[in-house]
Amino acid sequence: MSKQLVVKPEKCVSCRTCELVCSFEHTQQFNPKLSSVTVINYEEALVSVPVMCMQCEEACCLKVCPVGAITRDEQGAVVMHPDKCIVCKMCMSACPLGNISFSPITRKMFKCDLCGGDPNCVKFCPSGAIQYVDPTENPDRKKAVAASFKEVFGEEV
Amino acid sequence: MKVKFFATYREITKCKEAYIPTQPDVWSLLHYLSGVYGPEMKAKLFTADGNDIGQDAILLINGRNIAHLGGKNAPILDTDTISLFPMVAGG
Amino acid sequence: MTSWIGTILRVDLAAGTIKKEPLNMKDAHDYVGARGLGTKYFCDEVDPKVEPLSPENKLIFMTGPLTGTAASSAGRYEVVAKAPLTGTIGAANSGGHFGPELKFAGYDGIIFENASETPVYLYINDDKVEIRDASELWGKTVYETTDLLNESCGESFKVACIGPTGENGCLFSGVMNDKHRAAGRGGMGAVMGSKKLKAVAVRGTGSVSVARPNKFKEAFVDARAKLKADPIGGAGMAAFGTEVLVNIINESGALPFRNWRDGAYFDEADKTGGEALADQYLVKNKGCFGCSICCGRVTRVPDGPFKSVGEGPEYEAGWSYGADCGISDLAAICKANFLCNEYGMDPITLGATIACAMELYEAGALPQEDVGFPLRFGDPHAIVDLTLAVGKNEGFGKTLALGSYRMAEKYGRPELSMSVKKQEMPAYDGRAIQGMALEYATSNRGGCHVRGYLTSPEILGVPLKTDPMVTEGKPALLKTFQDLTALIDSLGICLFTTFGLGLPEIAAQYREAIGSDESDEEILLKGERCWNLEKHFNIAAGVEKDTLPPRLLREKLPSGPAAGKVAELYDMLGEYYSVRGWDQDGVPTDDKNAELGIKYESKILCDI
Repeated sequence: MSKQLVVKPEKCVSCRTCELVCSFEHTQQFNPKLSSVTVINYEEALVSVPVMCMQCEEACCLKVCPVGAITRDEQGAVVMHPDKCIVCKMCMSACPLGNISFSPITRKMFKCDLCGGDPNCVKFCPSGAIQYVDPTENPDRKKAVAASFKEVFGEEV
Repeated sequence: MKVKFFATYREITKCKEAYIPTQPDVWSLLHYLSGVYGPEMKAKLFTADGNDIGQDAILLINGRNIAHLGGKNAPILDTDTISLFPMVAGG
Repeated sequence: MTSWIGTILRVDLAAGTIKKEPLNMKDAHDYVGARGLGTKYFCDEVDPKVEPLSPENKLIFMTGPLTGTAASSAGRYEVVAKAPLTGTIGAANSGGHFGPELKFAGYDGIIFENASETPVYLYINDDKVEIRDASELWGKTVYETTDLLNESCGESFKVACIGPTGENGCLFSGVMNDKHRAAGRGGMGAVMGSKKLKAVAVRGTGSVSVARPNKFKEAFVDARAKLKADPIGGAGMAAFGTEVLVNIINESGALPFRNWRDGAYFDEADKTGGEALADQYLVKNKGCFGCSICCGRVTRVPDGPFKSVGEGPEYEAGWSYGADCGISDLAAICKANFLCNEYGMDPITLGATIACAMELYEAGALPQEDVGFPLRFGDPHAIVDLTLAVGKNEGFGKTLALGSYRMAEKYGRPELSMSVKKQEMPAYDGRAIQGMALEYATSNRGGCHVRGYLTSPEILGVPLKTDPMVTEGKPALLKTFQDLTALIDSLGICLFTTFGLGLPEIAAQYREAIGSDESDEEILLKGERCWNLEKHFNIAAGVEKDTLPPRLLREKLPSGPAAGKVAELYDMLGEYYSVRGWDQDGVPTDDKNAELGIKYESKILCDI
């Protein structure tokens, strides 16, 4: 089962390191506007959320591309092929989550490609707010719930 | 003798301070505390090989760092107050 | 390629003109950036005798070569001007996200000259730069100003601005960015206000590159891994923030209590420390741009008379409003700190000024009718009410806005201001930590702890353990810390990276970013060069000699591990000057000037 990026907003400290390393990995430049992940801040709620492509099972961008410039790779990532891309921007409209962007530097579309299976945002996030896990297992949360039961019932001996 | 716990040590001991039987020196104190508070405490107080004080243990006797009082052999008196901190910083 | 953009903005606020100028690359090379480079530009262009609040003072925002990259904690920038509080060269350092955004917009720095007649702000949207009317913003708080600019310019703009205190000339008002981050000390906000410059709003869509991308990546990967592995830079600071220091400094008998009058131990200090903050009011931690340490505090006091939300407090602000005022009510301390952010003022100076007022009152030197109520140590409402009074420029707030020295002088007791060169010393008693006594006396911007943070070796034992009670070895150690800090401030990275990294890791990131082959020592020399240039400016500006308040030199600590001690400054000062290559009056010698390539003749700076 291919892994998926999972976001834990409660851990996000809004440092935007993910934006920096994503743009650098793909363009050798530091530029949040060239990053496929963006941190959105909700100031009053005191929450921030890193947002990136969710590699949809039924990817609208893939389906709508008229020249087949978007395909799925072995990691299950939906990836862009800039050499085929004609920059019609239909994928940008098709994505319901706003996760496809246009780069004014390369003048092509870009999106998260999971870094070929070793996502940089995950590697460099200092707080573990972005993780790369098998989405069919949610061990952390299930274990945490089980531990609460253990504490409650364990006392009645 | 009195031992005061700070920062992450409070999470291990679940208290801010304790009165314990007076130990002759710092090295004995560390062993005593490991005995009372268990392996998590021991891991912080000692290096992995158990031969020296761990990096994550700052110890003061009456406000003086043990480094200037004889290190792990620093003697302790009845009336002393020991303060135990992890590596902390600020600025 | 290099991590410099290569362009600065020169804005004449009187003429209303904006010029894009090539960055002086020789100076960038010699002075590194941010603090060093901003100071070099300043010293080249401004008369050291200038009145800080006159139009002839300049205000410089300068980023560093690492700002905006993924180097360790590389989000910082410096604000440089002649400081109104001290009359020294002033440089205030800040984190957050503003500095990197300036580089993404295409500028390494901004030099503001002269003064506008009406309130304005600088609008920067990549290559579109305009001076815009700020009459709707004038009088607004930092939070209001930032929100209004985000509404009118756009959500993605980063804002640096002053609060009403900067407009009113409060001598310790700061420049706030991203609402809660501060270029805090010395009164940079008052300089900005004297120019009728309310804010800078910037948005950038460009990039920061590096000279050697593969090697740069190796360097930052290595640096980040080392920081993560370090107990302080890794988990410690994120968990407890800087307030974790309260207890260790207190236990070490070095927490100045009640305006340093009543010794250096506070039996209720634990109620105000990082543990209490994490237990009661911490919502989560927060990180500045690209930082892995993430020591920021997002804090909420949910109810009670001090109900509030904001960021902080940090250790020194927690001390100035806490032990220094004899306060154990953490909610009040938080609220007072948030008010400082909201109104744009330095909580270290303000808390210490209130503490000074408390002592003046209790000594009978400050009449109750001036304050408006009985002002006693330990009164939590006093610190909040008086902070608000300064924020609103009302009542006794107008006097407090002068800082402790000018206030104490007004009431005939200047010796009760716990300050050096009129800037209040923070939170470490120099009688119990001898190296800090020397740092306070010699720091180029007055009573400052951070630029020669010997608390680290003397109390925390990082990177080596030294005895706080002795004076031996402190002069040489202080020089190293001061020079290294000047280098770090000039690079645009955070000083807290030194909890985990040393000169090699820091220098490596710099080398690969700009494409240099200089050695670690050659790079460290640039920090020394910055320090010496600041000293030259101060001498030419006629700044008072290095000394300490009489209380530190003569009043022995009553109790604790340092009982009976005073600050043995004069056992260290002469040796410090020698180690620095200065004469016994503290003036850099010709040999030292030649070594560093500095010849300063009061606004005329020639390189040998």
